[in-house]
Amino acid sequence: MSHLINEEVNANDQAFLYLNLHPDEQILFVVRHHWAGFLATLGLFIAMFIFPVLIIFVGKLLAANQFSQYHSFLVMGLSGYYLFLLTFLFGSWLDFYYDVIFITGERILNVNQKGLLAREVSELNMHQVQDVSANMDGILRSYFNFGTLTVETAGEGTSDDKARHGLQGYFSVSDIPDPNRIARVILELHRKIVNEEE
Amino acid sequence: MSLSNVIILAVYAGFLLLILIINLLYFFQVFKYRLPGDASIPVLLIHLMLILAILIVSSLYLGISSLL
Repeated sequence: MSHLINEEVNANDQAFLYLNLHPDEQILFVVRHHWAGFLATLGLFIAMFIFPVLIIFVGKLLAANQFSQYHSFLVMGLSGYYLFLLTFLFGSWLDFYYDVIFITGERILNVNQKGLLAREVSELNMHQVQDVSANMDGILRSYFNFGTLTVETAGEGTSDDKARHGLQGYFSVSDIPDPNRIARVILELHRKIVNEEE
Repeated sequence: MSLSNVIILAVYAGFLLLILIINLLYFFQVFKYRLPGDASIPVLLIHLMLILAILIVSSLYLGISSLL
């Protein structure tokens, strides 16, 4: 799990320039999605990988002489198909892996990779935090210790969940590793900021 | 070479060009947004090696089978 939650971050690195960190703002945690959240896409990839092999195997059993006629086109078609499949897998992985949450002493920054060229960065000030909850449902999530982190805010939030409406915002991110620990960290940082303001 | 074969080859070449452009965009995306010490570069290298393996094996196969 340690590779998913990075705590030793040099905020002065050029890679963090796009976050526009305030002077003296330190990145405390860099959190990525848990790898188990990618299993569904990987399963789809494996099924799509096996599918043409099965088709060819059955086809050869039923009409072996037809296949030898179109051998070259079959090789071309297969190579094109697998090139597409690898590109699809790598794109999906980038989409998944480049969704990152940065927790600094002052803010939570949620970087959401949307496809090939779109990228959304939403942020939430720590003092706006009202409540933080971690939700782990299902055997897989409980076993691997990952789930959805929801931060209720005083302002507007970002959430894919249309059912959650009202004046308060909901800042929710799915497939977060060790969400209870992250929730506790956010609440402690919020408490610290509120105490400093008072 | 018949006209239909030329059309098939042209479509295949166009498809390969599209795949190349998409992979180049991924390449630039990785170098623009990767974070220090993350898994982007090793995964990109594995991806490139697999793509190259498919291209080389299929090209060799098509080349050799056309000679025979």
